Amino acid sequence: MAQSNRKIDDFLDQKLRRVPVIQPKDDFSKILMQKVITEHKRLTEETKKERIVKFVLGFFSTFMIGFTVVIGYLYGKSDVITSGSEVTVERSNSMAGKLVTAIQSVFLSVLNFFGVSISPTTLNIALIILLVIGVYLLGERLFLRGKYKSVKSM
Amino acid sequence: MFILSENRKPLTKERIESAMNDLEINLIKRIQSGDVNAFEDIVIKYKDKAMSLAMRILRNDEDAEDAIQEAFIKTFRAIVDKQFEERSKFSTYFYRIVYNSAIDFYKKHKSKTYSLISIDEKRTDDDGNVTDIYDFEMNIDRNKYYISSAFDVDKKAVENEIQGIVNKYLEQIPEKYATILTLFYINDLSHEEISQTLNLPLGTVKNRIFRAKDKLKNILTSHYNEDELLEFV
Repeated sequence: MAQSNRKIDDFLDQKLRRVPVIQPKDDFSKILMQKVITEHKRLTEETKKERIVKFVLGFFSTFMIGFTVVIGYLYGKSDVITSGSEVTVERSNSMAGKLVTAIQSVFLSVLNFFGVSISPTTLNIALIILLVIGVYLLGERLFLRGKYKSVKSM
Repeated sequence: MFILSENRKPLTKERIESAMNDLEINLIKRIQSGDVNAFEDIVIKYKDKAMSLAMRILRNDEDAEDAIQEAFIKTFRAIVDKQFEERSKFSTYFYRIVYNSAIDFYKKHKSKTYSLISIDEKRTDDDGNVTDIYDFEMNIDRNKYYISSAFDVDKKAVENEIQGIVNKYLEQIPEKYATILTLFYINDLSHEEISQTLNLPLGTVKNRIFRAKDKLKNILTSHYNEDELLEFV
């Protein structure tokens, strides 16, 4: 009984393996390959664009960081007054200047609270570097998002 | 010459699969280096099996073709973008894309044409009653598939008739069983590979194959007696 069951099982396996495959239309491969070639061209173009955007963003970021570091060290030092644990920063009357001063004060106070003492110039440089990295990542992300949208719309 | 043939290892299924995989990896590398035409070899090799799989889900030629076309283009992008990892088996990776494309297609066009096909875990009939493979009934044309008790017809013809019933069975059973049987018997995936492809527990895959085969056995033994079937083994 068990053996005949096994034999029928084998027979069914054999029959199921022989179920014919379903074929798409004759011109399926031809039409598909045309689409694949178009897709390949689009992907190649996209890679080129991606390289250009990365180069521009990279160049801009490097330039900004370099510029900030040089300017910071050349002109920044004279503006700093530090006395004991109290950290003072240069005051400015313009709105932007006030905003920068406020940000500097907050960061310096927080760092001071954790026992880290750095000059406002160093902080400026660190913040600019972070800002540049942020701009780079945001730029790349925006570009990639645009890329994914164009892929989806196909 | 004798020594060479003595040392030659037998062609096991694993060795053949490994050689095939190497061949596919080679094609993939050619595509990545810019030889787009190498993709045609992949298309030719997989189009029929992919179509069979998509048909089990969509049950419509044109929709299945659209779905596999989308699957092939997604696969091409994945190869060019180097998302496909060489350590995974290409066929498993590809069939997963085909399956997902067919499911996406089904979901997108569900309201238009697929009201009668259940793709969910539980299959329901028009009255909303839950049905499953054991509730599945197959209408066999008795005139077409009738075998006389005297067994006086040609054995080959009878065997063809049984094959016809099996083919029809695979077309008609609920999608969740048809897909697994297709992946196992037609697309040659192992239980583990089906489990990865469909994201199902291994036990569920084995259980569905067992249940689907058991139902087929019941259908066949209700039309033919066991001795008749054993004649073909």
